[in-house]
Amino acid sequence: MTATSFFSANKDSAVPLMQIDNLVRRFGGLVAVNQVSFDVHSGEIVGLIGPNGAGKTTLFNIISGHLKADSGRLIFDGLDITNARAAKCARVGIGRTFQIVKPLTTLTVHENVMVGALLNNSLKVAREKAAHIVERVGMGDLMHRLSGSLTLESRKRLELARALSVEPKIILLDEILAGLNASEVGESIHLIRNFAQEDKLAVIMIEHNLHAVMSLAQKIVVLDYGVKIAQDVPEVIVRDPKVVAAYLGSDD
Amino acid sequence: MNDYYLNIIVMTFLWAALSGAWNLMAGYGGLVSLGQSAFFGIGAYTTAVLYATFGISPWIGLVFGVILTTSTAVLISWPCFRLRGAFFSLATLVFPIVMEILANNWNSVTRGSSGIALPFKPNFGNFIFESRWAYVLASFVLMMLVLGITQWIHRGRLGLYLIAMRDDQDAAESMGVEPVRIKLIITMISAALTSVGGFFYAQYILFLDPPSVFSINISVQIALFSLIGGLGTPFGPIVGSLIMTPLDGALSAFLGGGPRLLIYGAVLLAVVLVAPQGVVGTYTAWRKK
Repeated sequence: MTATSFFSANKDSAVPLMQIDNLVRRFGGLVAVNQVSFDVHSGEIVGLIGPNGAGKTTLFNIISGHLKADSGRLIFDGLDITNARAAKCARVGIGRTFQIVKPLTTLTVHENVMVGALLNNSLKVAREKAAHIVERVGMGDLMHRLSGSLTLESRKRLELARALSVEPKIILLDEILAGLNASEVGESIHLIRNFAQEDKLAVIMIEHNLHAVMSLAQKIVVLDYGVKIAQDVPEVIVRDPKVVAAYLGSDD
Repeated sequence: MNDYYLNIIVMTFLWAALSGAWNLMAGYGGLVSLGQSAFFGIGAYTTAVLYATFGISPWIGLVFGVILTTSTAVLISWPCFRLRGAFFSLATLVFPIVMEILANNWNSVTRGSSGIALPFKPNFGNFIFESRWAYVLASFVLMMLVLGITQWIHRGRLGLYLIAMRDDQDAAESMGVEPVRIKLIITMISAALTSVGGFFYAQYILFLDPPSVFSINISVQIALFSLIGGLGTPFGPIVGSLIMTPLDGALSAFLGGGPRLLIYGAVLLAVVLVAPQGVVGTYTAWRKK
């Protein structure tokens, strides 16, 4: 046994926050998620990457309760939440963003976040907590703007604020950096790292911006055609021939 | 003031209340129900049958009517909740059609198409009054009750959940909103208030037949008043009824039939084109500028 495997075995002995165990989801003949398993620990940032159509968002939809799994189990914080409804997933502490942003357009930024803050709080407390979250993601000056009138960058940030509003233990970020310019990406990376470190928040992020994922994540999971083809620290993933082949195509 | 004008005032308040109850479902929750006349008719018929056939006080009929309407609303709406948008509306359109057929054919209870006449015995216990002013007062109280409940929902947790669900159900669910639960609660409140409107109508007009309470025209009119006044605003249905009910009354008095419908349609078209958010919605948007 080498030193590295000894240490990683030791780390795994701590009870993970989330255990994704052999999840399968089919759409007709297509197996969109095929026996995918991995663990996420508190405060850990996991990057979920893979080519378009690899099943990343489908996996997110299963974890957040928006889609049912055909088989497999999902354990979160000691609870079996396989196929729980979305609202239940939010209640136990799973926050998520949507790749195609879904602002509640007739509500203000503050009211959008308040919807989630009401889950665990009275009206009065929710109002304060929502304002605090809006400030923290840097949208303080847009607090009372209707969310339907926001720019794409602000809408992505609102997604993040809403994911945080349910007082989650884990947040699922679905391409929240896509479409942002370099300085906006930098700010967002800083924000995400901040939440993971200060709040001990676990993060799973789907991201095509590999530079950003590599700099943030402690662990990368690679999906291809619904199958997990690799899982390791970023430095190893970038040199993994299977991953390179999935992204660039191989000769054989 | 003569009875003609008092009648228009009563109907204005009644339609404002009915439209307000619909606004809770459609304006806030995005549940554009076209089945409200089913709830209205069940409330009216329950009171009328109990009073006219069994001599039971309409006050007790009111309680039974609300219970029966609310349970029916839960039973028939629940399967429709999985339908979104226009599909929900189309499904709810079936409720009053079925109820009208039922009322037309269940002769032993509803007396079929000949209708039920309620005996005119004015006293408070019968909710029948000599003076029209009593009905003006009662309909005003009903309208204010609906407004009060709307204001309370508008400012609270339920209102925010309803609007969130209307704007985007997936996003709302990801923040812990339970759509079926919220839809059931608002449907029950809306059906109960509509049933009270039916009770009032039965005791005021003192005659019911299936088309006068179950007609789809009633469902459509209930929806129109909120659309004209301002959907999803507490005062929209009241403003809508204040404009449309007297206009409708005047038009049928002076023009009657065809020309009335023509002008009625023109007003509706004008509002939809000029102020698609309704009178209240447009005014609010204009003031915010």
